[in-house]
Amino acid sequence: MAMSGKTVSPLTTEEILPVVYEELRRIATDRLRHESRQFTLQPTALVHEAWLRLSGGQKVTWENRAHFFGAAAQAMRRILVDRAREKSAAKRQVIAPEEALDAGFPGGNDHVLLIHECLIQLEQSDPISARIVLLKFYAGLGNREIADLVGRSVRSVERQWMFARAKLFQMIQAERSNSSS
Amino acid sequence: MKDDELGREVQNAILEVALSMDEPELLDHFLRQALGDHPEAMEEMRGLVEASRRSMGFFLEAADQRRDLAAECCAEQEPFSTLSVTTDEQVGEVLGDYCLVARLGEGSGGVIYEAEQGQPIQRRVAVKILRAGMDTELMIARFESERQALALMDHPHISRVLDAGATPAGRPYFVMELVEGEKITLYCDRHQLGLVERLQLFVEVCRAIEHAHQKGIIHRDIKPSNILVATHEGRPVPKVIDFGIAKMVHPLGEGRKVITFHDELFGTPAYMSPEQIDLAGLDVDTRSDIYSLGILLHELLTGVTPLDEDEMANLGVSALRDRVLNAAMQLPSRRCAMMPPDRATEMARVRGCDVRAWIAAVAGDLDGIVMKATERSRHHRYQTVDALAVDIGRHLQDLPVSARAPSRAYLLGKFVRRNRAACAVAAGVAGLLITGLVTTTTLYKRERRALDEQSRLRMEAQAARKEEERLRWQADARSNLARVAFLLNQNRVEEADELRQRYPITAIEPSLEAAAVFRALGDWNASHDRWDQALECFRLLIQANRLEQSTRILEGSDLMACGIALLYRHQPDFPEFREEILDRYLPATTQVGAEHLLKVCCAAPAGPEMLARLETSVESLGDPADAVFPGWAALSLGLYHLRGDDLNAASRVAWEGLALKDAKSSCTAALHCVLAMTEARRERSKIARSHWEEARKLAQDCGKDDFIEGEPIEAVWFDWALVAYLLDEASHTLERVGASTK
Repeated sequence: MAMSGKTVSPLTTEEILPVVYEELRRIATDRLRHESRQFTLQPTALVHEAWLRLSGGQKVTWENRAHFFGAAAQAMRRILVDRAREKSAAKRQVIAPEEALDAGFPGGNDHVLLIHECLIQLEQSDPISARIVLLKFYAGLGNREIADLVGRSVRSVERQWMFARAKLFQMIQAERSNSSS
Repeated sequence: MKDDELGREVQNAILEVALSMDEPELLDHFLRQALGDHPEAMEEMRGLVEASRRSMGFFLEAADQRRDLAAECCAEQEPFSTLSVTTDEQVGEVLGDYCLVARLGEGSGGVIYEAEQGQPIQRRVAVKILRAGMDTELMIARFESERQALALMDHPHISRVLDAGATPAGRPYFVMELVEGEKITLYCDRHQLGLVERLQLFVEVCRAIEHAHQKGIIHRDIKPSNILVATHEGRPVPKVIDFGIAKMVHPLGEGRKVITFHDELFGTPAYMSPEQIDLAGLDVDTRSDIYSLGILLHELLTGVTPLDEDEMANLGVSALRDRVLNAAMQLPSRRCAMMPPDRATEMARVRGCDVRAWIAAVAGDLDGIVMKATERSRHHRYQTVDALAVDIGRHLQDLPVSARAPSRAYLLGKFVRRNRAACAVAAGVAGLLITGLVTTTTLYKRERRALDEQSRLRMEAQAARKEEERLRWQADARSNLARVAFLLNQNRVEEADELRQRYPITAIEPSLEAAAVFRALGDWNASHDRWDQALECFRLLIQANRLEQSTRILEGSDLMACGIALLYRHQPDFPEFREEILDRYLPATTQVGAEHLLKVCCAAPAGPEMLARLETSVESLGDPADAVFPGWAALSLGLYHLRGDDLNAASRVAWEGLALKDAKSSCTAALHCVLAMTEARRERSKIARSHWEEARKLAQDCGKDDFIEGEPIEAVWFDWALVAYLLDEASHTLERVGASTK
């Protein structure tokens, strides 16, 4: 992780991941038991809460937070991608892949997977943009939070997201036309 | 910052600025300026802009899918969750200082309750509890920062947001002034308000929104259900609710998921401005509210929104976006005319008239006003709510409205025929405007030369950062500029002067609203021989007019005013101006447009290449005898032939022009100048000289006045300026062939 240079936390990313995953599950379960079923899950809230519990409410330095959020975002990504793969596999048994592609963007249901695959490419070519996508899309963080995490201004983060999104979409379009031809 | 960081910031900033440009040609121009030296980077940027614009729907859907997936993941952890009881707040429950008394209904994003406040004062309020799904803490924090701004609003037609908090279950709620009434469209129909009453009511709504805009607050979610109307003392009184809530609930950026909230998909998109739906723009400014007001006006008049709401409700996000951004908008009166007869009869009935009267009343001015308010590009909309309200007021008084291109005579009449004192202040305003701009321009140019490419781009990045602030300020300055003009027009010189001093308008950017002021000040200065000031006004007008639609420019008289002012004063930027108008306005398809373009472009000598470009305009012009102003048409064509050295054709056309009965003296003089030059070139210097004398005598006798058949008629300064320029040119031609004019 590019921003984890001065990490204070003794946990490594590998160590923190399962914790985050478990924590996320626990929080979600709690929430769903005690609250309305209309409640829709917000990754931001989840990650915040997970952090609060993990850190025991202690004040932390931003390097630490950055590390945490990066890891949490990767965890969210993994959870979501796994889930999307399952669904996509289930659906492929019903609809032939060509038809699904013909349906174009509005009909397609694998946006999360597409973003994941192209994000792998983007991580190679432009890690800075890729990090913003990760924090924004998978962790669901707002610009302000990301700005605090990466030590840039809010506007700078907004612009980076704008750029990253355009870049990613170009890759997605290329990916789409590859798989349809 | 390190070099690669700088490079990245700059590249992102270029993309940001590029995405904010609605106009393709502006974008093109910007990219050329920013990256013209790096064709590859320019192409890449173009690709990114394109990708970014197309990506919005995809990412919105992706965000939806992500949310659903996350919800599924969690749901699976707890098989009993679907059986759990909903924990909707109940009547009788107490939230902070508020006790819920009755459920009033369900609105966008939440349930509204009537509540009783115990302290600090006892009163009835409305509490809107939002559905969960947002970050409560963040939102309350956001509310705190927004509350100060909202507290500034104090208007009888605005319901205020009083407080915010979170329920024990973590749902955010807002406390608002309790407003009784029904939504505006329903009220109008149930009380069978006629069109005039509806317009009057709408103007009141405009005034409320304007008040908020002046405080820097944008509503962002104007729609019928947010405007409640109740009868007080026998007349309808509107109240705008939910002010500022849209921004708090859906702040810039992630909040744009507003249209994916399923309950809001019904209804709201019809009222959202293209820039709200497009997401490509970075900012939503007051002009977005103007769009929504335009849609509201459309519905009040016709009973429907421009895009069918039922149909829109069934569209996916991308399709919806495409529809709003690309569907051609029909004239409201046309929408009425196309309704099934029974529906139309009903719509007319609730407006207290029959179908024919209804359609006739909507057609014309009101069509124009709705279309202008709902222009896709916000530059073409009314720039202030005041301008929209004023236009409706004018329509109600049977005065011409700005939504239909105003004639120059109207503007001149209103503005210049004022007494000297008023004009002196006007000139002062112009002077101020000009010195400021000249200084900035010169400084800017000097600086630009000195700076290298990268720091220039850094400036642009900085500029982009200040965009929102600037837009607000501009909206303010624009309305003040209009106000200064209005006060001058009313001869309220002292007030105008005071306002001018309070709001230095030296840095105002050219806009369509500003154009009218530049035009009026330019005309006044030109007709008083204050050429330095006049020229600067016209240069600003040229800039402002780049935002205007080309047919309006071609058919208006700004081309002549600007072009002839530059030419008459021998300004070095005339050729540049001429190239620009050709690039911009060719082909001129209407006859008047062709006449204007030919006249301005051929007033000065022109090369074969330019004449070739003007050929289509000659076709559009046709036979001068059939023109609306045959004399001027003949002059335009005569000049064209003169510049092409087709002397026979030039003199034939000019003679035909002279044979006309009702040409202005200035036109006659100009035609004599054409003949003087054609004859001189044919080396018939005596005849040439006599034409020149004729023209000079006419100019001398008339001075600044003008006549048709000896009858005085309103003179236009640039007619005589053109004559003066042609006289000067002809005298040089005569000298060259040895016929002195001295």
